[in-house]
Amino acid sequence: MKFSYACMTLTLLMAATRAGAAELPRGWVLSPSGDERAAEPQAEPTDELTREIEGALGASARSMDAVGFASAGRVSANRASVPWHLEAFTTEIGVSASGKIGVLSVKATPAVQVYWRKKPQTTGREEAELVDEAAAPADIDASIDGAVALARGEGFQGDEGALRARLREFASEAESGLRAAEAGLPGGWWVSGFRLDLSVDASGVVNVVTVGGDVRLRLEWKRLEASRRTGESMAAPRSAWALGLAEVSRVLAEELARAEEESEIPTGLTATSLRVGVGMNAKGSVGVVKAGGTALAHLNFSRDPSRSGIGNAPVSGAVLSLLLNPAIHPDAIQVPRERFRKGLAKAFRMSGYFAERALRSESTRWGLWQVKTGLDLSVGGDIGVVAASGLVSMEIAMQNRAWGKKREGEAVAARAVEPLRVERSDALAAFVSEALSRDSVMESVACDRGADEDWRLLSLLLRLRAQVGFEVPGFAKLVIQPEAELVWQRPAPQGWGSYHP
Amino acid sequence: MRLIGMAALAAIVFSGCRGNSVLMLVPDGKGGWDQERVPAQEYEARVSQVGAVVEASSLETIEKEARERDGWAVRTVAIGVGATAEIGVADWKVGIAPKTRVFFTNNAKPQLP
Repeated sequence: MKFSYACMTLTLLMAATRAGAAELPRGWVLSPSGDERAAEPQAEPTDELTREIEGALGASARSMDAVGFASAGRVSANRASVPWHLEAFTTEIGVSASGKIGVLSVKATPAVQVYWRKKPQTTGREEAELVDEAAAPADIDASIDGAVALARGEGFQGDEGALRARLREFASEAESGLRAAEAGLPGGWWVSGFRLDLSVDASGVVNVVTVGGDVRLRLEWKRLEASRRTGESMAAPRSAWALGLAEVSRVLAEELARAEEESEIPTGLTATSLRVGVGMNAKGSVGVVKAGGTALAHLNFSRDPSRSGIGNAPVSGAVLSLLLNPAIHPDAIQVPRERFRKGLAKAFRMSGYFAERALRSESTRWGLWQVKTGLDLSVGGDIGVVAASGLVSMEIAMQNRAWGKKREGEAVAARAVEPLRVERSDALAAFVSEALSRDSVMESVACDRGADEDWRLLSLLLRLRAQVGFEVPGFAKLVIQPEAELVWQRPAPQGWGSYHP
Repeated sequence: MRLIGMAALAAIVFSGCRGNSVLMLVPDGKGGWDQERVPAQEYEARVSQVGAVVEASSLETIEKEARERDGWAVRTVAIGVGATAEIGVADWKVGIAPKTRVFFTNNAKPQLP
């Protein structure tokens, strides 16, 4: 009898302390095969789940309150360049294939990335930027030279001429395709940029990486706008890649506008961008890439909140091409746009849910700036949040409309926080120093021929991972494995700025 | 009966602790994922400590060594940190830090990757 009581006691204790029940609604996460869960009701998150997420995000925001004092007083919103300072940090939330959710502890694919930024201490007001600071025009050759130089610095040993030619052809055709797409894009969404991810493997071979791969080098083109247009001299797209890219861009822009109209974005938030992987299969079909397929590039759509949606305008084409792993699905899958639009509307709703939780979790010194939700596609057109073991196919970003607006009492509260004193990690400092020394990319990006094209290489991002973990001083046995991401940019020349339609 | 009452009381007490804990997603050691509840105080202490060490170890180095060359410049540096490997649930208390990225910039309107 006593044994039974003991068992019952233990069971009750375990039931009370175990971390169950906090799971996403079925249907928010696609099945491991990527198919929809058949006949799943579109349930809403429970109150318990909402409390768990808000609790985790609240603790995350508070946890950095004692950090960032070394950067105090360095922030100014009135100049383009300011002293180096700690600006932001992220909280990354993961989801299992069965819907279990929690703050990620290890390297995995985050379903939600919450960007916290230090609240401005000035009385100025900084509006959320749809497009970040513009970079200078640089012709394609100079951009490609930079990529090749960086590849060389990272150990590339192949035919540089062939790599240069391949990248140049890809970028030229992508630009012409995107220009063709711009002409007819409806609603408030437009293609604001595209990016190319490259990896360098152990043998020094440079590859265009698959979606979610271990990115080492990222080239990002963004659209700029000159104060004085010099004419439309760009040749019309000719290749299957360029023509397909134009069509996919048009379909996505139409569906984004319609799906956004069908979903309710929570008050205080704005959906500002969608990033999606696009590719081309061996048969020349261009389409949206589901994780596992090979993405040639990522398109970034930005939104102008001042423009209305597509309304009842006619749509072009009845299907959206979806590319999967070519070894399993050699042909593009034609997804009915109606299904894809419903999936997108659900994606906006899910993204809005997470962003709203973060919006309620700000601390005294750190405010919500942006939330990115990683998404995966099903073969039938449904969309769910990406699982921690999965790969991101699309990403929606939502921004805090009130970011930068000073609120009463915040400055007083911020002063009450005591700075955290810690020891410096020499190993981590050495790793950062080593990452910063990899500037071989700049050796070849010296020329700026002043081209007047409106698609420009905006930035180069280099990601390096440490090979070993470092102990955190003052915290016994806490070991971290750092990675560094360096964003190289250059200023826009006179007369050029960020494009806004 | 007394034991059941004590168990029920303990369950209520522990349930109340949920409000002071953070749910984390951790590898279960079998290729899947499990949830682990971590005291909020410990969670906050680890994030604070990691953030402070990253700042103390990186800011000065970046200020000294961030390059500017031919019009290009390093404008944003993100230091991402997480656990060293996929460690089982039971190891949470000895070595896991919540995964985060810390951004340094000298740009008033930074591009955060």
